Amino acid sequence: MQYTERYFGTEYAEQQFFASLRPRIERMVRHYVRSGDDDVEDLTQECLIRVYNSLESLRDSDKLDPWLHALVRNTVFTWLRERRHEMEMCSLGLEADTESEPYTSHEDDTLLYMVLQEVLQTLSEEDRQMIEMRYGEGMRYQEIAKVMQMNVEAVRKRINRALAKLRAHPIVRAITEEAG
Amino acid sequence: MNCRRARASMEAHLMNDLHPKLAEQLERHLQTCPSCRADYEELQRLVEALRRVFALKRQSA
Ligand SMILES: [Zn+2]
Repeated sequence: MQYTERYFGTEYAEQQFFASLRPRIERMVRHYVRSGDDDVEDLTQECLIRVYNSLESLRDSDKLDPWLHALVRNTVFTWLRERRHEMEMCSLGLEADTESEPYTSHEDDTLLYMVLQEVLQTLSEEDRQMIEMRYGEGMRYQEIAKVMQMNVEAVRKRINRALAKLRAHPIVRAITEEAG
Repeated sequence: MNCRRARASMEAHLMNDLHPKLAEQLERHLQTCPSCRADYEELQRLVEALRRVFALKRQSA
């Protein structure tokens, strides 16, 4: 490819560049995706292809890192959106407005619901139960404390800690911070 | 109300579970503190999404 020749000088330099990129990209992908290794590998590959095809948009090699982060993030988000479709969320009435532009807040909301369902699975069973009582059933701390046989302050702390865990997830954070 | 207290009361306020007096203090703090306001909006978005997740779960069950 003419451009990459210009960019790297030699074919060997180009190979070295992509070889060094793979583990870096894989680490970034793992930051977002906690499912199986197959998914991580597919996504890493997809990112590498995108890097190869869009190197031209990278003019300043000092900016490689932020550029790479943005590329990986976009690739992962697109993949998650596609997977959402596969999960037949349409039967749940979330499919309205798919004609609208990508990256609208509506799209992000839908993505957020999907991601949250997955992230909830990383909580302990007890924490998940309390989160569900709180946000699913709308129960007050006192009521949850009774069911869990804990004191109210302990319930409040546990729920807030679980919430902080959810907020710490990179995708959840990326979406909730972007709002407004 | 200081920032630490404000952050500790946000969740309860979002769930209408905060003492009215504290709620008033929090509201006042949020009007003057952009950092807490941003935090509050972020939390609000998460809590709303959680409620939707569980509502959908009930619908599809
Ligand atoms: Zn503050």
